[in-house]
Amino acid sequence: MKTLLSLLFSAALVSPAMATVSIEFQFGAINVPTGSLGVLVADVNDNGFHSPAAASPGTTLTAGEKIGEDDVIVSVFSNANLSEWGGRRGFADQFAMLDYDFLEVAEGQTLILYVFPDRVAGNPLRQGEPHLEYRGEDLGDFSSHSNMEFALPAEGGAYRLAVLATEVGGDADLAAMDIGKFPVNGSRGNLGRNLAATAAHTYYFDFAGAGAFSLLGEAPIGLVASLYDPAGDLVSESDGTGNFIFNENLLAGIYTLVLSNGPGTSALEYDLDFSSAGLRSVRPDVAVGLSMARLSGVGVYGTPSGQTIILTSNKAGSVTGVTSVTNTGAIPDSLSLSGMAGSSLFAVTYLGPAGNMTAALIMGTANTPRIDDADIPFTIRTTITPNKKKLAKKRGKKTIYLRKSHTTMIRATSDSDPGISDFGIIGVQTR
Amino acid sequence: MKIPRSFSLIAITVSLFASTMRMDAVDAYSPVVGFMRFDCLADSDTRVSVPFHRAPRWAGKLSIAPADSGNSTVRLTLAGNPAFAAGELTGTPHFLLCRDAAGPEGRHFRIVTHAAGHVDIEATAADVSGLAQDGLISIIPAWTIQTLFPHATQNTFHASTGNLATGRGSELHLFDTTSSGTDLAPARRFFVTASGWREIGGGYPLAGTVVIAPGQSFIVRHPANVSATTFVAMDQVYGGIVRIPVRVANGEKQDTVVAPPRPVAQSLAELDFGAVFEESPDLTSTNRRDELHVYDNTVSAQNKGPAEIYFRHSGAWVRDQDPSFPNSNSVVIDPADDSLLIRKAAAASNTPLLWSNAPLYDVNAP
Repeated sequence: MKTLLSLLFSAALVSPAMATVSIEFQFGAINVPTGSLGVLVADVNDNGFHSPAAASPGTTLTAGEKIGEDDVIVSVFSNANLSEWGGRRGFADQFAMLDYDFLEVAEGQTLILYVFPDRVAGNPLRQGEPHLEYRGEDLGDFSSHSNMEFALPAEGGAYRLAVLATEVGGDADLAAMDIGKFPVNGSRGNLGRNLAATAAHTYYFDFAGAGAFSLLGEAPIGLVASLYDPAGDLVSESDGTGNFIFNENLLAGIYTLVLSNGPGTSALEYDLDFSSAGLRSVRPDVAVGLSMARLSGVGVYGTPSGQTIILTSNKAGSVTGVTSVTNTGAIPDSLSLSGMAGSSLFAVTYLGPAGNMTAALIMGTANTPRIDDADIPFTIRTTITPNKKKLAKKRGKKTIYLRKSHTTMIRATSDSDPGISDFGIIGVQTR
Repeated sequence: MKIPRSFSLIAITVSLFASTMRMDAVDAYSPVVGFMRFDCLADSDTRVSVPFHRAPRWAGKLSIAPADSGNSTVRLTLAGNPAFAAGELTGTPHFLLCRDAAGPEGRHFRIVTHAAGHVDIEATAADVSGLAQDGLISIIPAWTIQTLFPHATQNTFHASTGNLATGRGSELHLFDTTSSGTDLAPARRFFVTASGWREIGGGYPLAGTVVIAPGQSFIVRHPANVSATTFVAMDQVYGGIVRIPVRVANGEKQDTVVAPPRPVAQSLAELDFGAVFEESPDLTSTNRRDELHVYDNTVSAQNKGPAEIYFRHSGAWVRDQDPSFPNSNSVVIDPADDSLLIRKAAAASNTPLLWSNAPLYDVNAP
């Protein structure tokens, strides 16, 4: 009786009257804070998307608002608290009756999803507004369980746009959709996580007043940390060779730290330590003395002068000195320790808090715990024992002792930055 | 008249009918029941409707004329002693159907509150003009999604295993009955799970009690790679006139999806659209007034456009097929295969019109 004219027949006859579209949108599961806001935005003039972090002052998260020059907010929605997301979160909603004429958008315009972890509908965008973005597959490709691409569909229909991760039965890799507030309490904060092969972790923090910022990252090779300022400009970036330290004087504003997995082949574990109390460093400080109460070299770095003691051995008797190892920097770090071996004339033993550590020091495999300037020093007792058989000589009935000397040195080196170290020297003189 | 392959009218004796209904102060009659089967294709939107009503809870006369209660409600006091239980007609939604030729015969009004002997309906005094003491009415349980498609036993929709799209089966779409404009997307969408019907969005709440209004068609959407199913609508046939609202919009075109309230095929000329259809002064698209869009259920596709468009010119139906514009008075609309949308031309007000459809068959039923 009839033929199907076209699926878009009615669209071709569209009148000035309002037409609508219904879209069911599902996106998850992702690691974002509870209450995060999802925003779908259309690239109206096909000139690329403008970053929400650089939106004009006063731009609010409301349908119909423009981000940047001409990107139009199509819909604003909160994350849905569905049990299907497991311990994560996601978006699941229906945008019924989207009115293209009201929004001044049109079929075919590309969409982008922004996720704002710190905003609710109607809030203004702030400079540096932390967010994630997702642009979907190549246009023309429908994700599984969708009947539209990441672009506005024809008016008058009911569509589903679903991007679901493998852990909820889908086939999308959403590991990079991961954002959270850096857990700062007062001026300090730290966290440790595992960065999956295809993941990226984004953290944001509001730097209330201009001042010092330091970040210590303990990370394996391949992890790259990038710090962006409120304008979206790169402030500092690690080189992916392992542990890193950012020490910056920052202006006030919202900053974003992105951790990415360079090789993308295996998971990378990391620990971050954040401080805004001042510029920080790891600063090994080694001091020596006869006792912990009589140390030389406290606050002296990298020179023998001031942190060397010479002990006198009478009649080739043993002498003992104390070496204290501290980190006077504010970034907690483990210090690797090395000590010099004895000789045929002088035996050297090192005794640490847990017992004899001579071999470990000589091999260079000893370490302090993670310590910073608030911790008590790590103490090593150094005993130097002259070899009496070789140093004692008979002169008739008298025994004389050869005047010989020996020095030992203990060096403490930052694990985070192996270029930073200090040392202390204990010498002995026989008579 | 073409008889649809799926249509049947079956007279039921009054003794069977009486078991589900109380009748007071009214003549006895035999209800007529029928059925209509829709084939729901895979990867397709099938527009279906229910041209039947459920067995009336009560049928009878008014004891006094309707009284305007304000706030767009009218009180109707019923003769006899209906003795409705508290909340009986609203806990389970009900409509009042006017069967009186002196009043708004064939119109349905939602019952919003009631007592043992009266009902308050969503209406203005003008809506029930002409209805007076002894006016004939029926009180009919509304169709809901759950009553049409009980989640535990229905086999029209492929069930979903959860809320996420990964487990989604078929969907039920209700058309937009409130927005002005054309090419209006379905406003509400549902799917069925083992635990009941759920509405898409907003936390996916249970939605089995959502009402499907008389004359309202809806979509059965099957995804790809599933088997086709059937929907067999069945219950009592409307024996008299049925009036269905057709919306208009002030200054702009307006779409209304309508469903013929008859389980029989009818030609365009028999659909009684004349009173609500504005004729076009000529055949040009620029001067086009009202249009009738016909959707084809036999073609498999989602978000289908109309298969044919008709309009009225010089007292006749013509197909929008340039340049011949063939006369289409005898074109048959089979409700199992064809679904209708009326596109009204821009009007001078927003007051809906009423499409009054009289049955071609002759049954003595409410």
